[in-house]
Amino acid sequence: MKTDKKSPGMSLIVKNTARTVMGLIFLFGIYLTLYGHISPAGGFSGGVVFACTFILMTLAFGKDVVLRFLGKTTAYILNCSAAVLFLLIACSGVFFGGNFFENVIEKMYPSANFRLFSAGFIPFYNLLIAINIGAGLFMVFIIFSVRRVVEMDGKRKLITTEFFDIKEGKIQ
Amino acid sequence: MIYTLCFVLFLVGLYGVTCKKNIVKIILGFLIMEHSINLFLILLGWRKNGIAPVLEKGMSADILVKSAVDPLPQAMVIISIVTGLAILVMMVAIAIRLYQKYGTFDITEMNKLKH
Amino acid sequence: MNNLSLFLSLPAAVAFFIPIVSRRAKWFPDIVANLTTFVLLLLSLLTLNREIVYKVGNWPAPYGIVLVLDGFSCMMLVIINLIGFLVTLFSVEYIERFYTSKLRYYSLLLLCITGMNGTILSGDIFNLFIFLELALVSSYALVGFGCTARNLEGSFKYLVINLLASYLILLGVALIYGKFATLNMAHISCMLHGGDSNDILVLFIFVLFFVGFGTKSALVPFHGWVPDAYMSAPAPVSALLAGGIIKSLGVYVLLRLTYNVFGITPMVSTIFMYAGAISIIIGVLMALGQWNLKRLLAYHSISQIGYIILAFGIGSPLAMLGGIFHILNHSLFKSLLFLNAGSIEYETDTLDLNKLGCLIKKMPVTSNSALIASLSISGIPPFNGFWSKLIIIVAAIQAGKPVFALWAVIGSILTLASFTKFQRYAFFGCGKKYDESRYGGVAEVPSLMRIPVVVLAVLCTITGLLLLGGLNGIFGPVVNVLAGGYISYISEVLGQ
Repeated sequence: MKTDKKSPGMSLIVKNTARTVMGLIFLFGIYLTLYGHISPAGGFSGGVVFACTFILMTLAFGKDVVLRFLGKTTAYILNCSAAVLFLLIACSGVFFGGNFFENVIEKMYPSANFRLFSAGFIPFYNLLIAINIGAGLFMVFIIFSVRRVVEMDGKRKLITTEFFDIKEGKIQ
Repeated sequence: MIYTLCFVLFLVGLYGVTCKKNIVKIILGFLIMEHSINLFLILLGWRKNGIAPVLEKGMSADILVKSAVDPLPQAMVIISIVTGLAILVMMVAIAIRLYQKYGTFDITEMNKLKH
Repeated sequence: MNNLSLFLSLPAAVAFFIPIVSRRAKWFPDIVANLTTFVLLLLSLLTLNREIVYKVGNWPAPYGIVLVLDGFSCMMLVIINLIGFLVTLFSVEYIERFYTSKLRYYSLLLLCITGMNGTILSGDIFNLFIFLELALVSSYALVGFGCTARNLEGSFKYLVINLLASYLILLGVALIYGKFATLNMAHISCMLHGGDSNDILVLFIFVLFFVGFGTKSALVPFHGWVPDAYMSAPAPVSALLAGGIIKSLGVYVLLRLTYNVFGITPMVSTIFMYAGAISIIIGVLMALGQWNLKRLLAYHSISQIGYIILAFGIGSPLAMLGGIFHILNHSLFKSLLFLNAGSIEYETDTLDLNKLGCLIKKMPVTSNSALIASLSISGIPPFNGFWSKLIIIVAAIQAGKPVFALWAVIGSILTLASFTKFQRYAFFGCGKKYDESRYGGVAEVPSLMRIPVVVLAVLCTITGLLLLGGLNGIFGPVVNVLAGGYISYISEVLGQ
C-alpha cells in the first residue's frame, strides 16, 4: 500500500487501528484514576496512560490534528491549574478545623469500604494528579518531538518542523 | 544476596556516568543508577509468602497486617520514579540545547568555561 | 501562628498560579511574586522564639510526616526568606534586560524557595529528600536560564555532580529504612541510640550522607561545580545559590543529621575540622588568581563555608555560636557581593576585572555597598564578619587547637588581599589609565535594584551590634538545639 506523501502521519491501517483503540485507552486511564483508592494504581499511572493516548494520536495522525485539539498553551494552563486546585484542596482542610493534608470529608462523613464514592478527598487528589501529569507529559513530548535541530545555511538552528513524518526523517 | 546485586547495578550506572564521553550515555548511566535504587527500595519490603497489600472483600485487617509485604517502600518508590522522570526530562532538554550550540554530544569538546 | 504548612503551600500555589493569569497583564508576575516573598518574610519573623511540631494530616509522629520548628529552623527560615525577598526584588529589573521569559523565571524561583523552606522544616528524612530534589531541579533550570553555550555547559556540570550526590543520599535513606524501619528523624535517633551505634552499616550511611550533603554545601573534595555554576547563572540566581541553597540544602541538613540524629563523636569532629581548614585555604588560594568577578566570588564562597564547618567541628558552645553567627553573616555579605556583581554587569556589560575601573565616580551606591561587603568578608571591625571570625578563632584556641586558628587567620589575611584587588580594579584605580570615554552611558542602576543592595549593606553594619545586645538572647536557642544533641531533639518531637 503506497503512502500518500501529502497527508501527514502514518499509513491507513495504522490510522484506522488508532482511531478504534484510542477511546479504549482513554477509558482505561479513567478507570485507573477513579479506582485509585480501591485497587492498585492512582493518579500517576492514570496520568501516564492519558498522556499515552495523546502521544498515540500524534504518532498516527501528525501533529496538526493534535495541536488543534489540545495546543501547547492549553496543556500548560491545564497543568498549572490542576496543581493550584490540588494545593487549594489540601489547604481546605485547615479551614474546616483540621491540619494541612487532612482528609476532612472522611472525618465528617465516614463512608463504607470498597465503594467508588468513599475515602474522602482521595478520589479528588487522584483526578487532579492525573490531569496534571497527563497534560505535563504530553507537553514534554510535543516540545521534544516537534522541535528539531537542523543544519540550515551552515548553522545549526532549533526549528519547528512543518510536517511530522517519522518515516522520512527529514523536513518537507 | 540480592542486595549485593542491586549495589553492583548501582556501580555499573556509576561507571557509565564517570567514564563515558557521550552525553546520552551519561544520561543512561543516571537512569540505571536510579533504577537500581528503586529496585533496592522495593526489595527491602519483601516478606516470605507475602500477599499484595490490598484489602479485599471478606478479608479482615489482621490477615493483612500479618502477611502482606510492606507498602511503605512502594509509596516511596512511586515518588522516586516521578522525581527521576522530572530530572530525566531536564537532562534531555539540556542535551538537545547543547547539541544545538556545540554541534556534538562529546563532553570533552565543551570547554568554553575556562579558568 | 501555628500553621507551618503555609511556608510550603503559599509559594507553590503562587508559582503555579502565575502562568495562568499572566497572559494579558505584563505587570502581574512582578507584583504577585514580590508580594508572596514579602508575606513569607513576615510569617518567618512571626515564628521567632517558638517551638512548634506540626502534624501533616493529623497523623501522630512516627506514623506521619511532621514539620518541626525549633531554634535552628527558625533562624534558617528567616535567612532564606529574607534573601528570597531581596533577590525577587532585584530581579524585577535585571531579568527584564537580559532574558526573555519572566513568567517561567518567577515560577522557578518560587518553586526553589518552596523547596528550601520544606527542607528546613521537615522532620522526616524522605520528605527532606523530596523537597531537596524540588529545590535542586528548579535551580538546575535557573542556572542555565539564558540559553547561551556557557550557561548550558555550567548547568550541565552542576546537574551531573549534584545528581550523583542526590542518588548517594537516596541510597543512604534506603539503607536507613532497611535497618531501622522508620523514616522519622527523631525516631531513627531513638532506635540508633537504643541499640549498638558502632555498627559498620551506620558508619557507611554516615559516609554516604557526608559525601552527598558535603557536595551540596561546597566542601573541598566536592567543590568542582561551584565556579562554573555561579559563573553561568544570572546574578540574582547566584545570590540565591550562595545565600540560600548552600546554606539550607547543604550546611543545615549536614548539621541537623550530625548533631541531632547520629550524635557527634570525636572522629566526626576531626573530619569536620580538617575539611573546614582545607576548604578555607584552597578556596582562598584559588581565588587569588581569578580575573572574572563571579568566579572570584564563587571561590570565596567555598572558603567561607570552610569557616562554618571548622567552627562546628571544634564543637564547644562558643564555637557553635561563632558558626551560627557566621552562617547569618555569610548570607548577608555574599548575597550583597553577588547583587553588586549583577549591578556592574547590568551597567557595563562585562565582568572582567581587567576591563573595569574607577566605577566609584559613576555608580556610588554600588561602590559603597561593595566596599562595606568587602570589609565585612575580610574581617575588618566593626562590620559583622570580624565578630564571627573572632569568635571562631578564640574558640579554636580555647579548645586547644592553635594550628586551626592559625589556618583561619591566614585565610582571613589572604581574603583581605583578594578583596583589595577586587576593589582596586573595579571601583578605585582612577589613575592615568582611566579612560572617560569608555564609560559613556554608565549611570547608577534603577531604584528597584538599589533597594535590596542598600538593605543588605545596612544589615551588614547593624548585625555586628547584635553581639552587644546579648548574644545569648538571640542565638541562645539555636545553640541549645544543637548542643542538646539528640536527646533534646527526641524529647521535642516525640514528646509532644
